[in-house]
Amino acid sequence: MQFLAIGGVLSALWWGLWAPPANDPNRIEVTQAAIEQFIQFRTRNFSDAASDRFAQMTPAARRAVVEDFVREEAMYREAMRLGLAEGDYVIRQRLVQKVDFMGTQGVERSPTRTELEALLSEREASFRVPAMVTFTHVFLSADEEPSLASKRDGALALLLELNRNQIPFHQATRFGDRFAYLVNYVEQPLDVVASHFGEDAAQAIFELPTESAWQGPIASTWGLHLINKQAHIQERTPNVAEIAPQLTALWRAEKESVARREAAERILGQYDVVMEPHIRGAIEP
Amino acid sequence: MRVDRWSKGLLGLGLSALSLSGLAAEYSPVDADYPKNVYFGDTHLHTRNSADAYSLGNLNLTPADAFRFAQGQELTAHNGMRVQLRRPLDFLVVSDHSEYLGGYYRFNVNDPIVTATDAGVQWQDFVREGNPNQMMGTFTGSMADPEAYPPFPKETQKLIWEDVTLTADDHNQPGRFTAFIGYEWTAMINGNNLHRVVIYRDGAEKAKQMAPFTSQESADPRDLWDALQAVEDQTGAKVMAIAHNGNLSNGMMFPSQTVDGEKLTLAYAETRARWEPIYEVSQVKGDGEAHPTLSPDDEFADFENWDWDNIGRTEEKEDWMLEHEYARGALKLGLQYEASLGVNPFKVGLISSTDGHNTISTTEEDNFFGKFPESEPGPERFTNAMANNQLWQNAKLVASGYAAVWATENTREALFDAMQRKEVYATTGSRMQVRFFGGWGYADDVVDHANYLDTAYGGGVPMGGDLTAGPDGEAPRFIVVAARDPDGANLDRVQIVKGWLAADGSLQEKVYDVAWSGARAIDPVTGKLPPVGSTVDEARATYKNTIGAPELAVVWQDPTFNPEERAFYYARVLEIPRPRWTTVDAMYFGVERPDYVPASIQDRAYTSPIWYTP
Repeated sequence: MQFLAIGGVLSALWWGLWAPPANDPNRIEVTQAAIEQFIQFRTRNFSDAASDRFAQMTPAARRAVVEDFVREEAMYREAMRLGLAEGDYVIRQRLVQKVDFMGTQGVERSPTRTELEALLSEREASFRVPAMVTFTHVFLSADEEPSLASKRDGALALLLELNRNQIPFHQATRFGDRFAYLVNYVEQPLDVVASHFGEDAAQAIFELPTESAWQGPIASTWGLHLINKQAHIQERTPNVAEIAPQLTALWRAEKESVARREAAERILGQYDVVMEPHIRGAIEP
Repeated sequence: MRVDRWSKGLLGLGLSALSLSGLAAEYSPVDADYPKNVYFGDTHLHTRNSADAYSLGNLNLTPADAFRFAQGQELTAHNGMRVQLRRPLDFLVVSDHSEYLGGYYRFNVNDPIVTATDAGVQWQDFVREGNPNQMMGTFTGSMADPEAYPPFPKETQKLIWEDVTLTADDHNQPGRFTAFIGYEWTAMINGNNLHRVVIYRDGAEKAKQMAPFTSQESADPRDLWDALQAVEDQTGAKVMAIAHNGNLSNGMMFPSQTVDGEKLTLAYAETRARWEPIYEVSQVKGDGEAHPTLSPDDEFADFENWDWDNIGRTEEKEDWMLEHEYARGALKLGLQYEASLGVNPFKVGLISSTDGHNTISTTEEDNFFGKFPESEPGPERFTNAMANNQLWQNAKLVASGYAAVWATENTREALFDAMQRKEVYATTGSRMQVRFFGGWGYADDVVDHANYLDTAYGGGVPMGGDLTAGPDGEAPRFIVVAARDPDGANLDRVQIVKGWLAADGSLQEKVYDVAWSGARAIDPVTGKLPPVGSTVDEARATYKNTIGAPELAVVWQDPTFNPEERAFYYARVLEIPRPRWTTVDAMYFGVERPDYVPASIQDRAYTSPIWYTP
């Protein structure tokens, strides 16, 4: 039955009995534009060549293209008529995502230098690079005998010896006991040092001056440490040039997020939202 | 004397597959330039660019989001929660499935480079017919039948792939954070898992030149290895493949025959060993180190086993499959192949990773964001099953794990080279620090000295290395030094697992407890060390570090060493019990924990083995 109807439309076309469009759900309009778009999708070519292509086809080929188009359109409408899109959560999500994505159309993609600088100063806290230290240590374990008091005396004596003999940074492991974690801490921030040594010891290490001499002893949760602190990099905010890719990505993401939210709000604004009373009650704080 | 031992050690290295790629020469531990830092990362993570992730609801989170999250920034998960790592990762591989990489997302936003392909046109047909589920089925459909479900043309794949490589380069900060370029080859045969993640040592300039290899082209690992050879030959990029989920391969991961049923050959063994130096032993779909059927004497072998069937759920598990699936079984089989073929095809170092599909790499029991968006935190994840209730119960998911890499610096080159030489270990989610060395003359007290690493490296080999031809009458000695995750749980014990090929041709194994916390002693009758106990409060989902030890260190000698027998040794380090993520969820959401998962678990680390060759 359908194919007779299609044949009828085609016949009407070919014999030039074309009527202007009307809002008729049972009317499939075969326009030049629709055929060209159909050809573009089917031939994977989105250039203007589609119209030339149609013109260059044999009548039989053109008939096949038009039949395909019409069949597809009819089946699509049948699917919609049968409500196949209803209750299909995947289709629903896809459609929502398309509308959501439409909200990002026209959003600026390329920030100016000024815009990046503004973003950086607004979000300075999250881009700030924390203070970092570079040090090594000679470790005296608290598990060993003797008592902590004589341990401290022993540590001070060792400190004197390290400095008298001008023991360099890289020879730290000639002395003391094995430490559970690192020998050298190179450009490490406070929270890493604190997780290995404990808060108090980490704070104390950060407060030490940078000098070639050994310092301490500093007490951690593990024992005593003689510190050789080589560098202390102050907390700083990188400049735009250093983090341009990350800033740009963040700028775009935020632009898109704002655009999508505004678009969604515009769409929602067209609707009255009516809640069942018990739901309204349930969402009140 | 030391030179004599060391040259024998180098000879040992030379016998291994490492020498085939000439990498043994790149790393010389004799001077003090050995790795002093361990780096933690995830080598297996998916974003919305993966077809299955997208179709199961990961619509919004991209590779850039993955890299940002890994470096410590906050993300909004699909369930609406803000999520952040307590400690950033040191490196990440975003390894999306190469089959229709980026395809479903791009199709959904009408990207013409996808909608214009044969696949894109077919998907439009499905959607117009009101059948989008059929479109979602083309991911696996195209692997089984690429005639019926056409893959993207290589030019399209290359375009999409270029974007992936450039994004990784954007986030790569040598010395601070390493963003690797990678993808997953999603091979399955009859529902049996053969997946590999491919990682590049290089950046976009080389990596983008060739599109990834897909299982739409072939599901035979030999074809993957050929494709990797082609990448090296044509672009100069260096790559490796890391397999995972042997536990879902129904015996095909470490097989006794090739995909087309032929016996393994020397060429197969050489090729496999050359391209697959490490194996992902633990991840969200189960832990694959050991199994109680294979290791009935190992009371810790039943950890998060997924041993019911294969990845397609098409065939049930049978006992004969297990030794071809679990790492310990495979390592033992490898010794047998080395004896018969001359090269060990299963000579793999061990790492762990997550296989998260929601872009969020989490492994901690109290910060676990599941695999797909349906298993992000929420009371439903106790009752629903994976993939819209088609696969396994989500309560069985494992909050695992990390790859730990001993490297000289945090760069692509240093980390990749460390993986190549297997100086890596697996953790099932926490950041234990584990050192493991094997040598011939280590003194008992070497671990007491601050400079023990000079001796350890100078007098032997680290994890992943080879020992051979020791001094007459001497058994090898092993150093294990383990420290707990600084923010985590104390350690229960250190074990060394030995596997060997006995003189009578049989494969044997034994697990030794070599160091432990507290005043426990090995029971002379059972040979077992008593359990460490538990401080877990299930109702509150807490534990306390009042048991266990913050660090354990020991030098151990093999008491049953036979210099004629090939063997491997690896260290397994166990933490004290902590609440499993399902216990944390039960407390947080006020729901009852399913009875088929335990209330608490002991997270662990597995080092890469050290192999002994007579």
